[in-house]
Amino acid sequence: MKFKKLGNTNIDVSLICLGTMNMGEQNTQEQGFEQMDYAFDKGINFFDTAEVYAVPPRKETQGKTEKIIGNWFVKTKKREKIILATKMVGPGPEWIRGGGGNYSEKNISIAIGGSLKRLQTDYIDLYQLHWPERNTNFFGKRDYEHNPKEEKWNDVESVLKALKKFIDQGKIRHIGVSNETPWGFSKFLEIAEKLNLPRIVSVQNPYNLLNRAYDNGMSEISCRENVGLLAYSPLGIGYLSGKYRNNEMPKNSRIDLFGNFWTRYKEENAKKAVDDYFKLAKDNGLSLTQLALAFVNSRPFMTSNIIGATTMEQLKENIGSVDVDLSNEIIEKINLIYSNNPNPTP
Amino acid sequence: MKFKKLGTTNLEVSTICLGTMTWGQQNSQADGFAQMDYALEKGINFFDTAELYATPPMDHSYGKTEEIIGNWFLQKKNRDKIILASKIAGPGFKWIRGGGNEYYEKGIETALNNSLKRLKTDYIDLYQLHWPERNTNYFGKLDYEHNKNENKWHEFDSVLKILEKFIKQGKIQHIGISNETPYGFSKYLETAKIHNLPRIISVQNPYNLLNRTYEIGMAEISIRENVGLLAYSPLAFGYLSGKYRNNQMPKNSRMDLYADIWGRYRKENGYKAVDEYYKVAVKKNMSLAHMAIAFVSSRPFVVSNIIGARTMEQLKENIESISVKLDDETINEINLIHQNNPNPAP
Repeated sequence: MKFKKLGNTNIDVSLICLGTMNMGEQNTQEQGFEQMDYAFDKGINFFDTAEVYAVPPRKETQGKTEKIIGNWFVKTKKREKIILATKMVGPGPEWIRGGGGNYSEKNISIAIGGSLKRLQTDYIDLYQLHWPERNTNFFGKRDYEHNPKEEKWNDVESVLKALKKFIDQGKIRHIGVSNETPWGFSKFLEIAEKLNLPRIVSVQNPYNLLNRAYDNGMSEISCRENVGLLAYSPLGIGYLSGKYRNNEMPKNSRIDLFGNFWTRYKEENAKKAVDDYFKLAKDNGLSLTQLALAFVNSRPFMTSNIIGATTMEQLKENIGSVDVDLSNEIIEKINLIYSNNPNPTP
Repeated sequence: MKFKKLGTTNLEVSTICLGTMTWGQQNSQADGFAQMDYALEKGINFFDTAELYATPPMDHSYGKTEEIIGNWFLQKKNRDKIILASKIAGPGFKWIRGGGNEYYEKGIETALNNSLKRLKTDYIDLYQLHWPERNTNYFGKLDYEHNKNENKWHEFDSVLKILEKFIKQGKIQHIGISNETPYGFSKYLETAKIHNLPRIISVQNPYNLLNRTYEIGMAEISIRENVGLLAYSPLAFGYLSGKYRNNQMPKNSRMDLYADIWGRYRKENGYKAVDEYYKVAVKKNMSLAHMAIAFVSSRPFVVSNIIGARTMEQLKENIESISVKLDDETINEINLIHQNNPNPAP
């Protein structure tokens, strides 16, 4: 395994982070345990979860993933060996605190309390805001569209002040943002600096061969401010494994089961890009999965690449990507495909 | 004509700004005078130039455009009727103070004094930094690529402190940036706020139907911080007039004369997008140029749309676009084309 520093902390996190959102829906607790055991054996020390998981988000499975992880900690006594990241939901899911889901101090307090209990721990290493309260471009929106009538949201200063309380109490160690834009990213850094409030140590945004929007405006901030990316969906919800090529729909795959929820990657141009990358991988003796994950691993602004799996075979291949080095020639060919068909699925 | 406030100032600038960079190469001084006379008559009160112009940049035409504007001010006594924007060049052209970093005190002082002299005025309303000194993604680069060995560049606070001096001397009224990224944009705002230094009031970046990258990460900053876009290349160097469709190359057009310099828009996907936008314009009974310019002018984050023309017919058409209103259906069709072929010419 390879390791990188988490932002400006002294924490070394594995370049591959274990994503957990299937545990409790597509995967059982037993399977989750097996994945965590295997990942740990392979040197992974970084797990990412969220109060909203398992996915797709629904009332019946909310909190299940955190419970499975908590049970694993109890069983294996490995809590202190893992850098544990979780997230608090933004507005939306009405079964969580009524759906207002805003980042008020009271909500943060309730959310942290619930997560700690389910995770059966007394601290979270990295506590992330799952998505912005304000109207902006995330979850498949390429561009910012202004809404002059947007609802009120808690400003960055008040959110940081609230989070600071829980850092001071020792319940959370570090904070991060997720599904953010350059405006939000910069604001969190600016306000922290100006008012001497906690500084975010990471950004968790989507990043994969079908969506490199992060390269346009976020990666410069990441590099220059030393706040790296935790890349989610490195395989584009599985599209970059190639399993949906030629209109195939494997039984029990995520798109077979929940295709109506995950529409982000269904674009025509995405299919074309997948085919082009598939061919490139094949020409170089790689699987598409290896090519896609190794590309994400290699980006300079990357702190950790959050992989997810439903089978042990997938998990093994995903973790194995850490040993795949892409030559400059392959990177150039990737960039050529990309420049002819940039970001089909933002 | 329509008008908008320039950032946080009380200046009302026309939604169409007169671009000037062809004067001194493709256009003579007499042509430039005719264009300025006509624009002023049509209610335009905002001219944009740069020390670098005329374009393409060459040592023998450096400063010529400013001279033509200065001569017009002198002859017509119109200086006070115009909100005048100019720019100091960034690094790269050895005939401009040696071609190194430019944004140090002596560099800015020399550039500013020479611009004032050529423009025959004692103040510039909006003084812009033409492009960043640091390595980042502008001039056709969609993405940021980190360079660990990048050259040193002048820090934001040092640049703002120097500019403040010249604001205090009355030589410049306001400052702006150009060809910037979310990192630079945010940093200028943050530094101004934290150190109580002059605040930028505008960003001049490319924006047109073939390049809407501004919407990914810049537009949100523009709106939330009230620092609007001065859109350059609204017709993508003429490609969005449709004149280069079907492999046509009109004699004395910019691509006929200088194709080697302007490769940004000559891409397969760019041609494809132009054809599709052309069809929408035909269906809606308007010229492609009108549709393209009206789209830019109508964006909520745009303060002024910098048009440029070689002939009086082009100038008339460009300015006339101010009375073109795009209905929702047209906007939706434009957005659909954009979604399927995003930013072919960043």
